[in-house]
Amino acid sequence: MTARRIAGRVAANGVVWGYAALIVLPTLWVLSNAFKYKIDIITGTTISPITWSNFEQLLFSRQSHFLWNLFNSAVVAVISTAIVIVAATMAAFTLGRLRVPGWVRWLILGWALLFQMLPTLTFVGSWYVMWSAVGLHGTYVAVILTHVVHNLPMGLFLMLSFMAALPQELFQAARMDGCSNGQMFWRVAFPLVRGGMIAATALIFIFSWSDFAIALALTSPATMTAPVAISTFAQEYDIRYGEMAAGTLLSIVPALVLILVGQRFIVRGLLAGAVK
Amino acid sequence: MATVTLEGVRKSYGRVEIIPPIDLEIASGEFIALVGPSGSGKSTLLRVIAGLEEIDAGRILLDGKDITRAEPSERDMAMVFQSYALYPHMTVAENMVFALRMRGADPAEIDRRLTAALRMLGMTDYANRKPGQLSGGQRQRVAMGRAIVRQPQVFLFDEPLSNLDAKLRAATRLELRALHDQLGATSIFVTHDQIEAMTMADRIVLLDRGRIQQIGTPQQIYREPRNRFVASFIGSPEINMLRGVLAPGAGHPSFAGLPLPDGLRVTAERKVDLGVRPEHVSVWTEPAPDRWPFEVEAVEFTGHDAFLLGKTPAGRITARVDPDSENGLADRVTAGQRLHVQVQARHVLLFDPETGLRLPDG
Repeated sequence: MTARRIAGRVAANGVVWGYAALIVLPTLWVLSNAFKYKIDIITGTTISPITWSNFEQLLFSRQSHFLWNLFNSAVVAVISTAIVIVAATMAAFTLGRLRVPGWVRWLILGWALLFQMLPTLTFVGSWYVMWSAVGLHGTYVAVILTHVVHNLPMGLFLMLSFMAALPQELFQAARMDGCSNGQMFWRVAFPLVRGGMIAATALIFIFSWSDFAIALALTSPATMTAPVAISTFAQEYDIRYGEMAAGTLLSIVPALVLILVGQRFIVRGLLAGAVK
Repeated sequence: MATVTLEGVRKSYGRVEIIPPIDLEIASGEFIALVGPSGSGKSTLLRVIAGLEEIDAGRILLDGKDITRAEPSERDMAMVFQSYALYPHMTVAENMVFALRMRGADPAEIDRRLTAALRMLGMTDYANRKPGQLSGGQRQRVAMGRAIVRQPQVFLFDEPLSNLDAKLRAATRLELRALHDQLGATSIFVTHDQIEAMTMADRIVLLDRGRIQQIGTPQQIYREPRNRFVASFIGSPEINMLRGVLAPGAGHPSFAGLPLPDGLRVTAERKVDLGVRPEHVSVWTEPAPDRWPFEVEAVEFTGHDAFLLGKTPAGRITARVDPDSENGLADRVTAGQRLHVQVQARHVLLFDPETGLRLPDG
């Protein structure tokens, strides 16, 4: 091995491990805080006695409604993800596989791309005004529909890449076999993109679950989701680091489970279109 | 059994004309091969017949009935795709009966046809496998089976053998032709492989850039090509094509100043493209008045043939040598050797250098 190749390897490893450290270390720090007394957190003690008091406070104290917040998160994420996936899969089939005029396709995809490129915060103010105007501010409907709008472009692009990966001849064969467009979708396209749908579901669910900006603007105390609830632990005179950490840990669990289950599919989802 | 008629069928993508107006009549029960280089429009033409591509002008008739605007599934045609296009999530049996199910056929009838097709293709033991668990050859069979169970009037084949290895391809060629004869349907077969076309088809339609260059039996296409393109496309190795002046001369005619043997009637001097197939060039070690000097550049031994590639004063020539005769010449020849070749005049094909059209002798 030449010196240049060794240097290349060292550099590549450095980047990878550095990037991993950037993500893993803060996460570990937050997670360890969940088991520490407040005094240890504030003084920055690394090794300290373990306590469950943060979790007790978070789950069972009267001031905290964290279980309810988790439930809200689940309601919003599950319903909005379901709508996004169904709509995105059907739209991807229509745009990618049926005869749609070119300008319609570009208009929709261009709009989706533009929407995806602009920061969420650009829209949050308008959404607040709009939902308040129709009297739906603070309801599940408002948060769920906004999440659908926000995540649909991503879902659409993901499903489009899965749909495009199916060979054209398969659909031509289906047409020869007498399938209508609907039958082509249900009997050919749908069974074959199921893996892609699982990947997209996992990703969109995580986006929705971890959203902060939209939920902060559109939820009321009754519909508050977990990320917003965690932020309320930082108050004017008292930042409850321990409970924040415990809340973070609890809210990571569902996403983590989903990733472990859908890992195979997620990697494929992220790479779709990149390979081949 | 059905006739397929194309009347002035034209297809273009945007401004690019893929198929200029084309007329074609395919007889009932005929095995037709559409042959041409890539980009010749042969696959597009097949898709047009199948109804997978809409046409810009013209009519398509099936047994005299206009099916130009009919849906692919209403045309009573079945297609075998190059990639087989089997549904990966269905078993072999499900793949084969899918079309019948979609049509709402009687379950007993579906079962009967499935069993018959599986037996015909020797796939009975694989009925419950998924396509992913099959070899390339088996997948190809399933694709054929899918077409067979529909009992269509017309079979459309889009290069169905191109994904098989050489040995399997040769065997499948025979099977496919036998199947065609057994079922008696009309078959339209697209291929870029001239051997497939020559061995299987009753008639060959040779296409180039969407235009029909010639329609004829394999023998006609090979022996009496209508133009230079047809002569060059069919035949392997390719026909020798030499450009020069053909002159009557005194006694013997001459080409590019070189003597030709008897057998070619030349009345007037003119510039031509002279085509002669490798098997119509004989190789000699001794010179003679009607032989041309030949400097060997390469020797290709294929088993039953040997081909000598080399230079003559009229241009480069490939000559076929029988390895088993001609005194073992093929085994002794090496590059750089100087020999002599004789063009068999009665097999010479003459073409107009401008139009490429074949000229009558002289």
